[in-house]
Parts: sequence; structure tokens; C-alpha cells
Amino acid sequence: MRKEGRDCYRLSRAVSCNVRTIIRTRVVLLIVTIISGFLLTYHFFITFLYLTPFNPVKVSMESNTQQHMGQLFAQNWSLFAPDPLHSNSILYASCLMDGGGESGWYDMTSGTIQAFHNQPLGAYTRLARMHLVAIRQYQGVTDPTTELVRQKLCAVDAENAACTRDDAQSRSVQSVGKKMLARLGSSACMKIAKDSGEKVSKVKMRVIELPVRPYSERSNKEWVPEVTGFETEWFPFEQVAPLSNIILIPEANAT
Amino acid sequence: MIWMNRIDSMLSVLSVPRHQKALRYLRIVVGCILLYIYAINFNQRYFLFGPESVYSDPALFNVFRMVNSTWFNVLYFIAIAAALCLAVGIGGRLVTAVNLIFFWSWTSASALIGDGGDNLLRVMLPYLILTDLAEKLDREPSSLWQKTLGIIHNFGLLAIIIQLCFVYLTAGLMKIQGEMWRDGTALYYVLQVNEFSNPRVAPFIIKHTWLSVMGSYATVLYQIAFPFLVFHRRLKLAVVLVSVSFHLGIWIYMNLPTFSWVMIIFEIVMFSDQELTVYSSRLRSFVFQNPAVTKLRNYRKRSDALTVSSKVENL
Repeated sequence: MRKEGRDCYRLSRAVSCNVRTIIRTRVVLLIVTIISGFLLTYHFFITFLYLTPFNPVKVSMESNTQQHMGQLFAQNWSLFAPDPLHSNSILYASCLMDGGGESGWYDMTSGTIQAFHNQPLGAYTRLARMHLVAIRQYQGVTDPTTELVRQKLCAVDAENAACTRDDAQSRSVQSVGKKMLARLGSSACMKIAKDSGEKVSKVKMRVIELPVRPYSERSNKEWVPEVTGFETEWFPFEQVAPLSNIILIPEANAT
Repeated sequence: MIWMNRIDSMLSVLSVPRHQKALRYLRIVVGCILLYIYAINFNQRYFLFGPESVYSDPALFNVFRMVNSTWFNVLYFIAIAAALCLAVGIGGRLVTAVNLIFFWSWTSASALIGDGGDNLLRVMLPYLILTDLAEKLDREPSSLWQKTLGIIHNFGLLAIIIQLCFVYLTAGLMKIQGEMWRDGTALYYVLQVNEFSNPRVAPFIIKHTWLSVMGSYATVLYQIAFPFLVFHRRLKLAVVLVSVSFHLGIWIYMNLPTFSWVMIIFEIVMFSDQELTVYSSRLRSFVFQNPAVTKLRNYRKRSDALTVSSKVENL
């Protein structure tokens, strides 16, 4: 605002000679600026704390931070950090029918990955990653910041509950993982049972982990991945909306 | 009265809406990305987001879970319409808010399939509501209302820029804590994981050790440096171009399309209207005054002329 004559002020193009209007404009804009500036500073101070590794200030303000960030501003920018994933996993499902018969194992991953590689802009771009999250949650793997703390703890106290993933947080994450796997398995079994016309009562999952070729073995033609894995218990079948484009390969046909 | 004049001049500067062109382009691309996300997941919408979806945390906000399957369908179509309106530029802040509600619900329901791009988009949408995405605010605001909106717009813009810097800084700092990023083998390993690899091109980096090492180090360095270099007037364009190439690389080598597109388009907010005008005119002159392009155009003109003359002769 520039002064134009004795009592007139220029506010960009508009010229107002009413001092009251000028003062009101100034006060309103100042209040808007101060409130916006305060909110912006506060929000990003909390966001900064939320994103920092564990430190005394963050720990003391944990409840405020979580409350402010809530669901809307929750964020995780680990993006393949601290270390990117370095194993391939295959998820199998087996179904127990009402009559007591078992379906045998069906590979839920390989066909989806193949479809993802063939159609890089299609639906499989995301569907191909479904099993990864479920498996990691089932294993009790939490967010990267917590995992880093866990690593440090394990280095000094391997028997600690957090280290053996027997702490409350890990158990909570594992129960979510169980739910995810049970529902993924149920969707697969719905498709398997559809062909036989039977009803599914329980589902079981098997996870096969294949480490990728280590850098030290890159020229070793004899190298083969050391296969590890686990099977879950039988989960009760859950009603899930069908996934028509799920690709299931019977274990006998899997390569 | 000096401090009063200073306050007045500060308010005048603050109330002029900035980077409007960039935000308009951002709106169009964000609308298209949302449309793409809703469209490619249309066939499996019940499975991923419906009332009987594969997994949805009941504690999270999700309008798709609150209804039966008929209403879920209605809501899904409204979400598509809202994304279309955002891309076209209809509805202003209200449409941005509607998109926020649906996309927030979408991220709540997509725990199994979400990525960093979805997270960034959800976090940015509230800031986008504050900004003028239709380039409607006057660049020389005169009324109190316009000035107020201008100030709010600028704070929204500032929030987007700060958030973007936080993303890069956090991602970079997290990476230096990882052994694979430190020894330069991160790309070598991750590109062997089927879910994050394009088998047509990934072997090129896996086989060339120096590419993997340079790529891994460059990623960490660039992510940490981004917030410090991007505000430098002379370096800004170069930093953003590096960032764009980096995310194009992620798209091509790692098959993460929407993540890359979201990260790329949010970089545009770093440029003022004037900078975008200058760059687009430079690009235009580069394209149209390029000898190769001129030669091609002349060739086309000649061939058009020949076609016309042959037609005339035939007459």
C-alpha cells in the first residue's frame, strides 16, 4: 500500500481514500498472514519431528506428533531404505474343503509377476506387489525407523522381546499380516473352489523366499539361491470379493 | 510510520499469487494420474476397495467401506468424475476437496498395493485445496477477498515446496543408513527383485557394475542435495532435470509408473510463471529453429508443393 496524497492509499490498482477501509484491510491481511504463518511453521515443525530418527525431542513429543499427523498426514519416505528388498518371494495357497479334501498348493505370485512384466501399465503393476506387504507384516516387520532401532538392540541383546519380534508392536503387526494372508488365500481358494463346486472351510499359506544373487557371486555360474520359507497354520475361510484376474498356477505346473 | 510501510509492502508482496501456471499444470496431471489409478483398478475395485475388500484397516478413514456394494459403485463413479473434473478444471477447491476424500479413502484401502506416490499425493491434496489451481486469482489483486486468497494460495504453495524438500531429505538420510546404498550395490540388488524390475532393461544395470555403483551414489547424493540446491536460481533447472531423469529411470527400470509421475509433476511447483514462460519459449525456439527440424519442415513443404503441383497437372 502506497500513500497517494494526504489520506488516500493505493492498494495495487484500487485507490481508496477511506482510512478505515485501509486499516481494516491491513489488519485482516496481517491476521491472515500471522495465522497462516503460524500454522505452516507448527505443521512442518511437527512433520520434521515425525520424520526424524528417534531422538529425545521426538520421544517426548510422540503423542502430540502422532495426534497431529493422524491418518491424513501420515508419511513414510524410506523409499527402498535403509536397504532395498533383496529377495524374491512366492506365495502359495492351499484350501481345505468342507468335505475334508485339500486342493494342493497353488502359486499366487509367479503368474501375476509375469503379467506385470508383460503389461507394465496395467492393473498388475500394483497387484503384483500384494503378497510382499502381507508377508512382511506376517513376519512382524514394521516401519524402517523402528527396524533400525531393532537392529541396534539385537546387536547388544539378542534375547530381547523386540529382537525376537515378541513385543506388543510386532505382535500387532503380525496379526494384521495374518488377516492379510488369510484374506488373500481366501480369494485364491474362492477361484479354486469355483471350478470344483465345493465350499472352502480353511486356507493355508506357504511362503518361499529366494535371495537374489549376491554381488560377490555375480560371476559364479554354479550359484543357486538358498531356498527358505515357512507355512502358516490353517486360517478360517473369509468371505472376500472375488478377484477375477488373479493368476493361479498349480504347484505341479510351477517352474 | 516506516514499519507501517514495511508491513504494507510485505502484505502487497505476499498477496500476489505465485506459481499459478505451474499449479494449473500440476492440477491437470494430478487429475489424469487419479483417473489412471481409478481406471486400471476398475475391474478389481470390489476386491481392492469394496465393502468386502481383501484388506482395509477399519480404524482408517474410508468412505468406500461405509456403504453397501451398490453405493460403493456410485461412490467409485463419483471418484472418477471428481478426478475428471480436476483434470479439466471444473469445480475449484470443492472438487479438490472431494478428490482428497476419495483418494484418502483409496490409500486407506490400498495397504497391500500402495506406494510412495500415493502417499505423497494424499499428503499434498490438503495443500492443493489452499492454492488456486485454475489460475483464476488476479495477479494484481485489488479487493480484500482476492488479497486474502492470494496469501492463502502462497502459503499452500510454500507448504507443497517444503513437503517436497522433506521427502527428498528424509529419503536420502534414510538411505545413507543402509549398507547397500553405502557400498553402491543397492541398485544391483533391488533390480533383481521381480516386483521392482523391468526384465527388458534391468539386466543392463545389473551387468554393468559401475552403473549400479554410480546410480546408487548419485541417488543418495541428489536426494540429500535437492533441498539445498533447488532454491538456487541458476541451479534450479538443472536440479529439477536431474530429478525428472531420475524418476523416469525409476519408471523404466523399476516399473513404478504412478510413483514416478507423481514425483515428477510435483517438481513443477518450483518454477514461477515467468520461468515457465521463458523455458517454454526457449524450448519452442529450440524445436523450431533447430537445423534438423527446419530441414524436415522444408522437406515437408516441398513434398506438399509437389503433391499440389502434381494434382494441378492431373487436372
